[in-house]
Amino acid sequence: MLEIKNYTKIYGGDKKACDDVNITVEAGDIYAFIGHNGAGKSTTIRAVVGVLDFTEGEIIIDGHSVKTEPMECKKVTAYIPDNPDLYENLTGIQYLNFIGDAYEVGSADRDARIKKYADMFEITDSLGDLISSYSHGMKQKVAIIGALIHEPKLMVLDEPFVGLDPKAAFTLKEIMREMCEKGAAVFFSTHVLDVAEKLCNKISIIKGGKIIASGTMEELTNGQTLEEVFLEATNIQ
Amino acid sequence: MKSKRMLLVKTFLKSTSYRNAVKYSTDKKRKNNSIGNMVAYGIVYLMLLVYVAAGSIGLSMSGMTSAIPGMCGILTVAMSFILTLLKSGGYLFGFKEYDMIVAMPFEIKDIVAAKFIYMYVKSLPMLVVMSLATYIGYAIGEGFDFWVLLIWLSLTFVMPVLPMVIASALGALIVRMGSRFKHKSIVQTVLIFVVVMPCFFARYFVESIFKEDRLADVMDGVANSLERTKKFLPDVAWFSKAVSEKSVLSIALLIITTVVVFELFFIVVSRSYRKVNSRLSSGTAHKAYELKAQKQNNMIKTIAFKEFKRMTGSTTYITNVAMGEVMVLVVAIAAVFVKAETLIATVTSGAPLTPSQLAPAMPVFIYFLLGMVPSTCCSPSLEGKNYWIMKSLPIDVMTDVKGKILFNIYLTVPVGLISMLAISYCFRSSFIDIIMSLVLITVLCLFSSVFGLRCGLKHRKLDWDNEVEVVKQGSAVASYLLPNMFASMIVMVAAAAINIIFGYKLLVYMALIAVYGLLTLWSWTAVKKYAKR
Repeated sequence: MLEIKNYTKIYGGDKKACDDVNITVEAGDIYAFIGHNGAGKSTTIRAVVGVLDFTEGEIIIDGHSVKTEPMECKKVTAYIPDNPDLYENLTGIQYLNFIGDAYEVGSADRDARIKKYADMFEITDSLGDLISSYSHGMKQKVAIIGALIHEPKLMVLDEPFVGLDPKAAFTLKEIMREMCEKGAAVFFSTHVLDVAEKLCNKISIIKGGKIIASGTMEELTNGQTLEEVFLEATNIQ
Repeated sequence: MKSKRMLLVKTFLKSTSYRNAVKYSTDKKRKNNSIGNMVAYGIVYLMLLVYVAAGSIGLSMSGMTSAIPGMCGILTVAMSFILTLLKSGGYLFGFKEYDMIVAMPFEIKDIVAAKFIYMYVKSLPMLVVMSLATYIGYAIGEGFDFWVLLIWLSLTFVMPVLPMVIASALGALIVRMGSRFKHKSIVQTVLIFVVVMPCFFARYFVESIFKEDRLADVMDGVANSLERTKKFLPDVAWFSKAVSEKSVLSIALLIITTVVVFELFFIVVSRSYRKVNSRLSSGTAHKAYELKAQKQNNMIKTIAFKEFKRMTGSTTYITNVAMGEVMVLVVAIAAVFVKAETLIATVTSGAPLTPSQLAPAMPVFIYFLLGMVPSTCCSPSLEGKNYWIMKSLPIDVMTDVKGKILFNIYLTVPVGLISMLAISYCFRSSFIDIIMSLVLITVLCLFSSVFGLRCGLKHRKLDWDNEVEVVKQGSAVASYLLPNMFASMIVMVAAAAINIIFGYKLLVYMALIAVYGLLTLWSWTAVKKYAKR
């Protein structure tokens, strides 16, 4: 579903933000991407969703190159940034309709999906209010519903659990599992190692722009906790 | 793909419209603010209508009706070009929701086009008002003709596109060049000034190219200038010919050129769009900082420093606020090197006035440029999502207010004093004239800082999507800019007229100092009220 091959991003001519990153996310995977602040997680994620230009390598989504066929890639992908900047002066429902129009989702599917996810996140009653009146968590919920409206094959999330209440975080995890059971894939960055350990089947650890550990959860942890593995790998202890 | 483009435009417009806020907000204060802002805009447009119509009726009454289409065209071209150049960087590149929009299935070409169309639609009310106002004078001179009105109004919607596209292309080029440097904002700001300054002074260049002898009459000078400027701007010439001769060829030329340039621009810009935005949004931490002993500073000065860093960190903000300062410095440099008669002839389009007659009006002229948009006007809204920082710190609201005022004083007073000294040197002013003009310009700068803050606090808007909304087209700026500009013009003329007719130069200085001093106090009272709101 997602193949990142030899991805390298160089800033200002010589500073390597990401160096020869290789990641493969298959259909059905819930893939965690972990690392320190400034390790290169968001830079990689932004390149995957076509927001950031990159220096070397190739990124393939569902058989299409992000560089040469960006529209094909975007049509099957959903992206939620770490701090989603929604249009504050739109109501929740106006925003979701905008996303629905952008992905050309028909009325019936749109209505059904908005209702389903808005009910799950318990936000249906507030959809008529301006987004500027929402709390951070509510904005995050609207962004998630917007990302699900076109039933993406690949969902890319940057720190998706920040600001969500425990119930909403649980709901999101359920949605991720449900998506993967249907053959989609989820690729997300997180600092919440417990969540990554329980939720994901694959993981990559990035440090200083380089992948320092990668594989299935079982291969990587091998009897240890993910926290121990992460701290060992990144030499914090 | 056209529908995707329009979907974006509709969303951009809706997401910044006061109407949406009024319709859906459950917050009564916000609703009232939005209604207040709409009313403020209505008043500002009405003032603009009256001001431009007065100029056009003046031309018509002087028997120069044929120059009015040129006036309309030049006003439209100049305003759309300069305003677009100043804001295109902020609108087309590095906007807040860039990640969200670019990650969605929109063609880059459509995103750029939608941002451009949004910018165009936002400028339309002002341009339509100016166009209608100029038509009033034309209709008085030539008589009302439905077809002329139809062509006039239709082309009003076409005319701004070409200068806006050219300004956007220049803006894109500036952003692209600036994005290669470490200090992107500073490089972009310098490049914008390099492009904008000649535009502001273009009229004088045009006049100097064509000047054969002294202009005998000011009105003739204006009409001649309009005719001459048309030679540099083919779209203005096409517009003039279209309305005055009902020329189908001119209409076709204007429309076809506009459409071709419009489409070409988006194809070219979209090619490097992602690369430029990547450069703008990327950067790595330096990691070589050495922690040294830190100094404790006075809080008001600290806030003033914070305001300085805020300004220098944003190309949009600095070009808007510092434009007047740069123009004043140009005037000051010119004053040192040219004769007083030349300076007066340039500023007054050749009016036969002496330095002594104009002396009390000069501080107001300098203030007209210097106080165009004070930093205090934008600063309260620019806090945006960072507002919580100041609110949560144990800083008295009046300390914050004083810090903002202090920064604007740092920005304007030294430039004002230097320019007044330069003009005094040029005019060979008397000692008392120099002292009075220095006091007056200081009072005017203080007034501008405090009155600007009054408008900034009264119309504070924190939930903006793009800082251009509050820096260039916020209601705080609108409610400051136009009334202040018109009032300054009236005061400038009145000061010179009273001095010429009655000869009470000292009294004029003192009256102006007293009036602006009182206005400063009145604004300060309002600042205290709005700051604590």
